[in-house]
Amino acid sequence: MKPDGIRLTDEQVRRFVCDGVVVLDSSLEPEVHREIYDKLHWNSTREFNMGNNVLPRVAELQQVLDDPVIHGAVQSVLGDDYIFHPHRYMHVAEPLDETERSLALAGHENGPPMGEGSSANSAWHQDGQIPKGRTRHHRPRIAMILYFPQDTPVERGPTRVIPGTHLQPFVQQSDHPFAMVHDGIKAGTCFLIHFDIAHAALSNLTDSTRYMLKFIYLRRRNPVAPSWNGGDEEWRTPKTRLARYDHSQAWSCIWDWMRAAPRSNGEAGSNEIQRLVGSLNSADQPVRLEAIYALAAIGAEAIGPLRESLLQTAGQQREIARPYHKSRAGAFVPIDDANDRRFSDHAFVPQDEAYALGAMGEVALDTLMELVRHDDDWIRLNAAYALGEIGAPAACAVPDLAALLDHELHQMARVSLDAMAYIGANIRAALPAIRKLLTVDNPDWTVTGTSRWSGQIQVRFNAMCALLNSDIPADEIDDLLVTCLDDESAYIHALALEALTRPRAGEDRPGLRHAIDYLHTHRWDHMLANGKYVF
Amino acid sequence: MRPKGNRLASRLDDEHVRRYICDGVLVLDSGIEPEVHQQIFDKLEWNAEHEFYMGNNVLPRIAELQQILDAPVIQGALTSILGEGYILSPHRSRHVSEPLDEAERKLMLTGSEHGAPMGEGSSGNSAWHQDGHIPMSRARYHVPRVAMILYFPQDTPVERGPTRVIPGTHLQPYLRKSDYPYAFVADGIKAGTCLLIDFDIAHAALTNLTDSTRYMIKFICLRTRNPAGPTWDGGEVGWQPPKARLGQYDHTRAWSCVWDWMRAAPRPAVNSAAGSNEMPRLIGSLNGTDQPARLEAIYELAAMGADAIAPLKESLLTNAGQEREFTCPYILDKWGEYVPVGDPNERRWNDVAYTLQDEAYALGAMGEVAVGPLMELLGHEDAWIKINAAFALGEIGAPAACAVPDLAELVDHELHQVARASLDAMACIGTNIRAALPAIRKVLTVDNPAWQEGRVAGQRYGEVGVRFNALCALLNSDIDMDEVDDLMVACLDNVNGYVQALAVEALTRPRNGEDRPGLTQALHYLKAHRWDHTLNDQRLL
Repeated sequence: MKPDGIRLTDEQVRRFVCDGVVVLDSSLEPEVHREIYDKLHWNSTREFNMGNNVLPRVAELQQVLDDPVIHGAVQSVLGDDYIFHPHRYMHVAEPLDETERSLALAGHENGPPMGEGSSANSAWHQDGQIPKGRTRHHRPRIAMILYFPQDTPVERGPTRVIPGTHLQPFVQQSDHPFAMVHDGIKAGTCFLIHFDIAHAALSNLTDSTRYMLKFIYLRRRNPVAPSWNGGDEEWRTPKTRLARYDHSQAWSCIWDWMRAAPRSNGEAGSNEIQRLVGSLNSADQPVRLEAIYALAAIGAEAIGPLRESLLQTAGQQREIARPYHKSRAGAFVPIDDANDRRFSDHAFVPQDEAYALGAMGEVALDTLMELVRHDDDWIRLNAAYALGEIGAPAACAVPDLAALLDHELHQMARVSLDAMAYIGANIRAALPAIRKLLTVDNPDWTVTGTSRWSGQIQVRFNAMCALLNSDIPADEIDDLLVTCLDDESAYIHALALEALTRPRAGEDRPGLRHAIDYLHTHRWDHMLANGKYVF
Repeated sequence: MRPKGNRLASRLDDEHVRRYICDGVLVLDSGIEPEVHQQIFDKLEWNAEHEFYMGNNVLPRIAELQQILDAPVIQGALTSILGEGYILSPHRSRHVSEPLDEAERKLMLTGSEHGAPMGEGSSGNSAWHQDGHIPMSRARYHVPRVAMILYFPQDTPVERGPTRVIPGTHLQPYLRKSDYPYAFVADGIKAGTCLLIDFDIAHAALTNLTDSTRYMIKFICLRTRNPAGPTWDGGEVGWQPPKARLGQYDHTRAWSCVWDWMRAAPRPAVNSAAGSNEMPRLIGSLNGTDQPARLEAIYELAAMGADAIAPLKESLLTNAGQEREFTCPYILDKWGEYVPVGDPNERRWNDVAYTLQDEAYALGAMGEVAVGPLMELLGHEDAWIKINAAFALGEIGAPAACAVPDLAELVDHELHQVARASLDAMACIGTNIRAALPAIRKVLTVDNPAWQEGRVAGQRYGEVGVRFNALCALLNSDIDMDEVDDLMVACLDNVNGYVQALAVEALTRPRNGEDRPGLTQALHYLKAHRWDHTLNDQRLL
């Protein structure tokens, strides 16, 4: 049972919307961080990096996550009842060899040298989803806490981020100079970051190991009101921001979505619409984001051109994931055009047309329901994504989305389930299909290839999210959730446990709540193994 | 509902229970599919090769082990012996027996050897021993309050060195060389076989003469309530010896008492025909090294009732003033076994596990009639006398409920030994524990520096034993758990993983009228996966 969170202020939320990063100081005593550091060090030097199991191994970490400052900040950007993701990771930056420590670093280097044995990646990258790819969202649906258990001055190599890149489908070299290298990180400092922000480790030029713990959080409900201290007023640019570009139109849309404020659709001439549509999917970030949100604001008139533009991407097999390779700097990068939109098992970026239609809201519903039945799978994926962004008003699309769960491609089922997770209502219409996915293996989806995880695992992960975020009383699906405790992946177990142990109507057992929290923290994933995979 | 118990637990029959009472061991086939054992074996190998020995955390690391504990045969057997509502102790361990060096494998073994040679890197102890309690010592009981499951994940023919036991020794305070030849070496142990044993039985590993490592996983289960009737299939008739048994001695009188206790049958009042000549002989046999004589004496005196109380009391009091409330020194013998310095049959406090004076066993088995005198003894100034009286009151069970206030006072005693014995007595009495709640609350929430000697060495010091027993007293009690929720929540922050584990047990028990089978399953899963974060690669238990 977490104490009440201390919510962010308007200024902090504005910063988060623009930069994708807010620096927080947890209010815990230094001894707690010391204890955590010592245990991490013991674990790292004598045992092994336990991956997801770092939390049960160093359960004191939960105190940091339960700290009112941290918990309140996560609530502020993800809503009151966010879900704690079962993936978490300890990033180790070992000191550079003494002879190399005279290195002069600007801080924006791509892939600066890391000490031997480091597990942190110093190449600029946007994270992929674990276990497998999901969509990149502009709106805050996923956030991360990066926790530093030791003082981490610049020379010890704090995690760097590039503010503003969380709205980008890829990172350009020209973004690198805009790196934020936070100075004066104390033991207990946390970064709250948008999941999609570019980030990287930095060389450790000190004598002692630097640890950074990453935790991921998932939004469960669409906003019905601001969940921070404020949100009463319209969008304003924060007093200071670090991001390279001005994306006012996008920021304002995100802000209004977070505070559940209605937006009115405007009008525009057809020349203007054509110009905007022509800017979509461009590598020029201000231009494309401006176009997306200007088109969304135009509403009905823009639907035809957006639809037409989207349909041009049909027939190119973009529903098939592209191959990735590891760059010299150590980041996973697509083999071809980094800005090319297609499905990805790392994290996938839909067409900008889909972002625009999704942000447009209810008025786009009919068109999207038509597109979700299109015979091209990439079009369906984009339509499903956009329906999810519309949220509750798209509840009527759930039966159509449910039909996609039977599709031969797991990609289709994954995106469709995520759309349901964001719609959140009328999910009962999809329950038979979800039940089937969770209980019947699909041999075509269990191929793992070079990855540890098959497509089916992410289908099931998303199915669990759809259930957790839904309006179905958990009592109705207890049997299904219990079955999920025997799934081949402990990610599924974790989400099933989340659902099974949530308080039900009429429950009044605070002691049980404490025990459940304790047990979640101490839950060991028995399927992970050192030397095989730890997440 | 015990989760996964949708499959009906299969209970033991009379013959099994009779064997268990006499021998202290049963061989069970868990009935779980071979693939599961193979998977467990593979994970044990991986853990041993690529990770580190995780001690108590072997269960979350290899959570498939829970399937063995949940098997209807295993669950049913444990319920038969320990009653409904038994709990899994947070201590468990993995014993490894590595193959003997190839050059030495010609060895001829009878199976009764003390300290048979073990392959390098083995953790199984091949010297005959009775286990001590973890985290801290508790009493050795004659009635089944603590039992163990020894699980073999691989075929373990005699040449791979199955765990051996000496049937019947669970009623003994110590072992003698003359017990060894009665060793039972189970032949034909298949993957999935479990030995259900009384906690106090003598056991030892055996040489592994094969090519592959042998693993054995030990689990401990604790009774939480006294019998209200038989919990196995049977128990309708009075004691009969089993058709076959393996123990060296005939302890019919003790066995019959244990049997009746387990089926909650009143013992017939014995016309105290024993004349006064008989009495000194029986008293004189107590605490002797002759096992049949001492056990016969204990249970015959118990059957006599009132007439025997004064002589028993007098005999017990001769032990006062000898500082027996302090543990004896131990040495590590050449076999790797901790053995007491001095007479192994001497009764005194002991930080491995302690055996009481036989007088206390007799008074405890006597029942209600002994409550008054025992309460008086509880007030004796000698701590060893108090400890014995507390133990005996615990053995009397619910009829000793009136002694709880007196026991509660002892929780404040300067010696943690006295507090521990007193709390365990409450755990065995099970009722009227509310009278002790303020004292229990205090020991669980206020540190006592005097009880923390040895703390730097890890999790095992007097106060941990006090708190472990305090939680057992609460878990076994008639106190509505809602009333102690706040206290249990406070225990989740205790520095000790054992205390946390038992608090979780209390907090997650289903409450009145609750009907959430899904939640019950989730909690069952979570408990099996509970990692004790206070342990590491050095501090294993």
